Amino acid sequence: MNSIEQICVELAELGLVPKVLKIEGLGGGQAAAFNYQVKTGRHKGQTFSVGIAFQEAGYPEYAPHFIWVAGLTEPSQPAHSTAACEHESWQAFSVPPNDFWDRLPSAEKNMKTYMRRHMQRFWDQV
Amino acid sequence: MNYDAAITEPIHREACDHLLQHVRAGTRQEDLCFGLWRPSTGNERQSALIFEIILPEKDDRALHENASFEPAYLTRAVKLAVSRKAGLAFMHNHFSEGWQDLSDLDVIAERDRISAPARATGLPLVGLTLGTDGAWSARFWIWNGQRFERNWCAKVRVVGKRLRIFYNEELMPPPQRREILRRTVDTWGESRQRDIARMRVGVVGAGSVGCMVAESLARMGVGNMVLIDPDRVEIHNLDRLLYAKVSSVGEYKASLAARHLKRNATAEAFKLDAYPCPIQEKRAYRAALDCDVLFSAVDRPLPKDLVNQIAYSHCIPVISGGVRIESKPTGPLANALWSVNLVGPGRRCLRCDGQYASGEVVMELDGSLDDPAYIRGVGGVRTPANQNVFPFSANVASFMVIEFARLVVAEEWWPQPGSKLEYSMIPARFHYRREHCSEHCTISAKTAFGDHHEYPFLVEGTKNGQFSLNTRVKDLLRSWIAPLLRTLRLTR
Repeated sequence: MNSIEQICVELAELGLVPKVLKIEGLGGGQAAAFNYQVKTGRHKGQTFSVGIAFQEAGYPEYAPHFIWVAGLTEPSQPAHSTAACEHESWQAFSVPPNDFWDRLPSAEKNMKTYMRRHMQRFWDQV
Repeated sequence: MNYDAAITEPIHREACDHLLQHVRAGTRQEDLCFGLWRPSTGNERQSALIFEIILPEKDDRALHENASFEPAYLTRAVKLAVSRKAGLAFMHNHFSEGWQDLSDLDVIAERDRISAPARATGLPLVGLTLGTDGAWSARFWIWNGQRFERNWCAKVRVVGKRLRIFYNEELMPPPQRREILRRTVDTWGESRQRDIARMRVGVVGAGSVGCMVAESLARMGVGNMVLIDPDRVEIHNLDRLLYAKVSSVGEYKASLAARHLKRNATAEAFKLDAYPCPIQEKRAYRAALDCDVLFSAVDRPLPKDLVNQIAYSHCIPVISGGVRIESKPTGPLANALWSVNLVGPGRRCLRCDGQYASGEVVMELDGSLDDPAYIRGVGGVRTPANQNVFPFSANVASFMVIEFARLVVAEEWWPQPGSKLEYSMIPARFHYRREHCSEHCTISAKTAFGDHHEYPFLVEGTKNGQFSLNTRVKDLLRSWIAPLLRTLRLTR
């Protein structure tokens, strides 16, 4: 199982429905994409298509870098790149969880921790 | 293939406490134990990384001046090795100092009694003998299709606060004293110089710092070196890069340095392998695994991460150095800081020291760190520094080689080297730090994992994977053509 597949499995365990999305030119090139209902911040309650980008290998020891979001208008922080795919306009945000990921115990380096500690604060800022 | 064994300091101490317990108590009694090892495979060297001692329980062995083990002890050890996917090691002690030969009884025990059951592990038996002075000797018993053949190790490394190497003098005879090295030898003595001369030392990064490190090592009499750097000389390198002149622009830094180092080396039979490619290329990576010590003079997260992993997984100490310039918003220098980290078992790793984060490795892999638009658009990204001055590089290189000397020539009474030496230029202040890895560090947790820990970002070689004749000819042509074209441009 490669890294992106493992991310998909872990997201599925959280009750999400992920699929692998490849968009040439968007930060990272491929992501585990799923529908996500925002829990906090100014987009609270809205549902977006979200992707967690990663390469073939290295997860979970190495932290994901880009978060992709489709359909987001006027984000509070600048996107690294944009691309159109499956009738949606995607933006890639450079938000690696460098402040905590490397200090996590191995058992906690997973999507559960990532979604709880990182995805929610991303939506607070974007 | 050369054979070699490495033992971390805590395992070495545990083995010494067990095997030498009778000698220390003043009785002439040998002892024995089993251990577990994992392979670490380079281009030219197969190392056995001893990571666990299986101490005998009551009735596991008989002591009768010699020592013998019961079959049940061997069975327990083999089962444990199989369950841990490890090789089996057999250790015993002798009553003399230095590298030990084997008695007929030792051969019978290792070759005829243990080697066959040890094949269940899929790895050869590694036999180790401990002298009364704590010196190890080792051999691999390899099945050649008909019988078990003894392959002596060239050396055994004990890796910890200090690096101690015990050499097989038949396979690695000490170099003769040479007049050219008189002042160096007189500084730390013949014995330490013999150790240094026989080491294989790798330098990752042949830029301004790496070249000065390599030059120091070559002048100190290191006899066997590896140089790894994928970059070519550019015009803006000339103010700092040793050996480089205008005609060098376009040449691989590794091959340029190799040419000069071969000329300046003081060792009698100097060997240098240059790899003008990234260290994550498999041939260069395996060349690094052939080394006893690595110097890291790189500023990118991925090679930093790779050497950091090697330091623990493969028990090869790394000395890493770097310069950081702080500028005022208006331009002028605010401060210059350089630091040297001594990395490896028992010390803090580069990631725990904040030298890089795993997320930055991913940024390098997805191309962000090479994307000027990304660097401009995203604030707070730590990018490789552009500013530097020749004496800063010279100073950090000098500190790195001094830390190397503290690691390998240290006497027992010397204070142990710490993990990090820092110098801050404006206040002219030194700091010496002794921190350890964070509680959940996954890098130091993989100490002595060897080949069992596969680095996820290794790549197959490209055509410039090693310093070939073809590369030399191309570089030579480039070094002639580039200045010629420049001259023609000027005269037009």
